[in-house]
Amino acid sequence: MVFCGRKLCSWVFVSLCSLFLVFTGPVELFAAEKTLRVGVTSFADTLEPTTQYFSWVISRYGIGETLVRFDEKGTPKPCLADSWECSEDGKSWTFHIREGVKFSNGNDMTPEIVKSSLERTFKLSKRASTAFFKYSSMEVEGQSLIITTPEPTFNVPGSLAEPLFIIVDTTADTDRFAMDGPICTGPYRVESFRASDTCIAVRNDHYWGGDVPFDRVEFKVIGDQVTREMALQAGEIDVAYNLKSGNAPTFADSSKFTTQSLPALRTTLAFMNQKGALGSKVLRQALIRALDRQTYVDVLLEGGATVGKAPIPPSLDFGFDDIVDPNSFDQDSARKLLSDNGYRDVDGDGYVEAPDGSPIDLNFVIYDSRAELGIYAQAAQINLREVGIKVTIDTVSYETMLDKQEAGDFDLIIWCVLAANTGDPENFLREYWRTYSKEAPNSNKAGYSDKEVDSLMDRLAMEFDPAKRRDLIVEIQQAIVDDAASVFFGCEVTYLFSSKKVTGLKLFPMDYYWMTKDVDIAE
Amino acid sequence: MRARFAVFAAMCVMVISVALLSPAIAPKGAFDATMRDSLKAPCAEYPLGADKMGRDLLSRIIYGTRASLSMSFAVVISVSIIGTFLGLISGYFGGFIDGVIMRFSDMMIAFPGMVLAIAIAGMLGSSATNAVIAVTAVTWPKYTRLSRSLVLKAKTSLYIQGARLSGATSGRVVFGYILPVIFPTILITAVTDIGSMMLELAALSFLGLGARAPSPEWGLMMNEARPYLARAPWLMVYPGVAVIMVVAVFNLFGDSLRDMLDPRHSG
Repeated sequence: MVFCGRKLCSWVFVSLCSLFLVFTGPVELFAAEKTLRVGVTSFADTLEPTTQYFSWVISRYGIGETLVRFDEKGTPKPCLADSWECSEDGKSWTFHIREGVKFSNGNDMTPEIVKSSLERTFKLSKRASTAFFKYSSMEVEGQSLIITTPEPTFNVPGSLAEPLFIIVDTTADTDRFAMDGPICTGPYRVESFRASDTCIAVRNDHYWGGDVPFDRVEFKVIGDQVTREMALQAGEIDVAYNLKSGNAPTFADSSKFTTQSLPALRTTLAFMNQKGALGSKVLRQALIRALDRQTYVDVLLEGGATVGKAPIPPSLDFGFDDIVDPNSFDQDSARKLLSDNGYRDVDGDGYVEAPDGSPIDLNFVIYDSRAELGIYAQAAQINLREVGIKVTIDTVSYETMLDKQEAGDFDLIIWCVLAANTGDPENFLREYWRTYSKEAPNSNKAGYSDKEVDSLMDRLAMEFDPAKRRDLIVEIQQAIVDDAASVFFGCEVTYLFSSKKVTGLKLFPMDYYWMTKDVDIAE
Repeated sequence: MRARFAVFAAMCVMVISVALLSPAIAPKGAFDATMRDSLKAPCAEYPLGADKMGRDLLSRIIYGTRASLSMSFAVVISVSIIGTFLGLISGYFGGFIDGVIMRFSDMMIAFPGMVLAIAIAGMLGSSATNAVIAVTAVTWPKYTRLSRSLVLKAKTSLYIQGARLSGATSGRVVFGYILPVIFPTILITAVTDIGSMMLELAALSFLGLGARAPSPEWGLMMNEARPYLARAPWLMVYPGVAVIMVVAVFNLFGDSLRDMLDPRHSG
C-alpha cells in the first residue's frame, strides 16, 4: 500500500510538472512580447482612411498621423508639419514639413508624398471639400507645402488635424490599405485586421517620435457594453473605451482601476426631416417642448451628460449660456400649440393627426453602438406619447444609419457628433445647417434652410477676428434654435476606464488619440 | 388523470384571462412612465420594481402575457395548419408531390432550427410578426413529417379502401376520413409545442430580433435589463419567472391532454 501510495504520489508529481510545462511554455514565449489589450467599439469595416469616418479608427489606434494635431486643450500643435503660417490675404497657407520622418515601410516622408496623400484624400472623400475646405492649388517648395484656397479660409490647420487628412505613403500599394491597413507614420503599424473582431498593431520600427513601448497592441472589438465592462473587470483587457457613467461604480476601486472623464465636445442631437410631417414648425416646436431633457441626463443617464440646447456644447466658449431656448420643457404649451394649430386626435387612438387628417407616425432612426442613444430615443418616445405625438423607433447599425441619413429616409435621426472636430465649430455648423444645394453639397439632408443662417455663415467664413467670429457663431446658433431645426438632447461626458497599471493614457477633447507612444504599462 | 387535466386546464384559462383582462388587472399602463423612478427597487408603488424608463414592471409583465400568448398561438396554429396540410397531401398522393415536399422539409430540418430562425428573423428585420414568420418557417416540417406518417398508416386501413371503392373523391377521403383520425395526435403535439414556441419567440426577442421597444414582451424586457443585471436584478428575474411559469403551465397542460386523449401513453 505504501509503495502504491508513493508510486501514485510520484505519478501525480510528474503529471503536475508536465501540466505546468505545457501551460507555462507558451506563456514564457509570449512574455517576451510586451502587449497591451484594448477593448473597443469599432465602426470601421475597412482601414481605408478616406471611407466614411474610418480614419478616426486609424488615428485612435496610433497608426496614422496628420500634419497638425490637437493638444489636451484642443489647440492645434505641430505634428508631421513642424510649423505653418498664413499669408496676409488669408488665402495661402504654408506648412513646413518635418524632416526625418519615415513611413512604417521605411520610405521617407517627402513633401511630394504629403501633397499626393492630401490630393488622394480630396479625390476619394467628398467630405474633404464639403466639410473642411476647398483648395485651388497645392505646391511643394523645398521642404514646404503651400496650400492656396479660393476664398480666405480661417481654419486650414485645424481642418488638416482631422484624421481624414492622415498622411499615407501613396507610393505603396494603396489598394491594400483597406484590408491590410494603410502605410502611415504613427508609433504602431497594422499587422492584421478583422473588422468586427480584432485589429493587431505592432511597433513601427521607423517611428520618428521616440521610443515605442509595446511590441503589440491588440484592439478587441467588444460591441456589447456589458461584455466590455466585464472583460476589463476580469483583466481580459487593460483598457475599455466607450463605457458610460453607469459603469463607473464597477471600477470604483482605485487600487485596481483608473477612471478618467471629460465633459465631452460631443453633442447628441436629432435632425428633424422637414420634407415630411416635421416640415411644420409648430409640430417641431411642440416636439421639443415635450421633452424633459433635464430628467434624461440627471436620472436616466445618471449625470453622464449635460442638457443640450444649442449645437455647440457648453464646454466650448461659444455662448451656450447666452442662447435662449424658446422651446424649453413645457408639455402644456406643447399640447396647446398642437390643438391651436389643428393637430387633433380625430380617430381616438391617443395620438394627434395632422390638420389635414392624415395620421402622424414619426420614424426615429437610431443606431445601436452607443447605449445612451436608445435611452434618449425611448425617453423621447415616452414624452411625446404624453403630448400625443406618435414616434416609432427604428434601431439600425451605424452604417445603415449613415445610409438613411444620406438618403433622407427618416423623420428624426439621432446624431452624436464632435462639435468642434477641427478645433473651431464653423465647419460643424456649415455641414449640418447650411442650405443644401447641388453646388455646395453638405450633410444637411433634413431639408433645413434659413437665408439668415446662410448669410451669417458666409460672413463667418470671411471673418478672421476671434471675438467677431464668436459673436457670429452665437448668432447662428440662436437662429437655428429659434427655427426649432433640431432636437439637442445632451452633451455626453466621455469616460475612460483602464487597469491601474496602464500609464500615460489620456482623454483628449478631440477624440482622435487613444494609443500614443506615451501609453505604457507599469511592471 | 381527469383531475390533473382539469387543474392544468384551469391554469391555462387563468393565464389566458390574464392576457385578455390585462388592462383591468395591471395596476398601471404598460407604457406609463415616471422617469424619475428609473430602476426603483420593488416597493409598495412598484410591487416588482420599475425599469430603466420608470415603468411599472408588474404591469409590463401582465401586459407581456398578451404578446407571448398571441405570438406563440399564432406560430402553433399556422405551423399545424400548414404542416398538416402539406403532410396530408404528400402522404396521400405520394409520388412526385411527396418527393418535392419531403426533400424541401429535409432541407429545412438539415439546419439547426434556432440558428435558421435567427437568420430568417435577421433578414426580415426585427418585429413581432417577423419573429412569428421565422419560427413558423423552421417548425412546419415537424408537422408535415408527423402527419405524413400518420396518413401513410391510415391510408392502408380497410375503411379507407372501402371509402375509395364506394367512389369517394380524394378530397373527401383526405379531409372527411383521414383528417379526423390523425387530428388528436396533431392537436396533442401542437399543445405541447406551445411552451417551446414561447421560449423560442422570447429568445428571438431577447436577441433583439423579435418584438421591438417599447412593447412589453418578456424576452425583450430581459434584453433591456441586461446592462442593469448587477444593480437591478429584478428586471431580469421577474420576466424570466413569468416565462418559466407560463411555459411550465402549457407544457403540463399538453402532457395531461395527451394522457387524456391517448391513454396508452400514460403508463
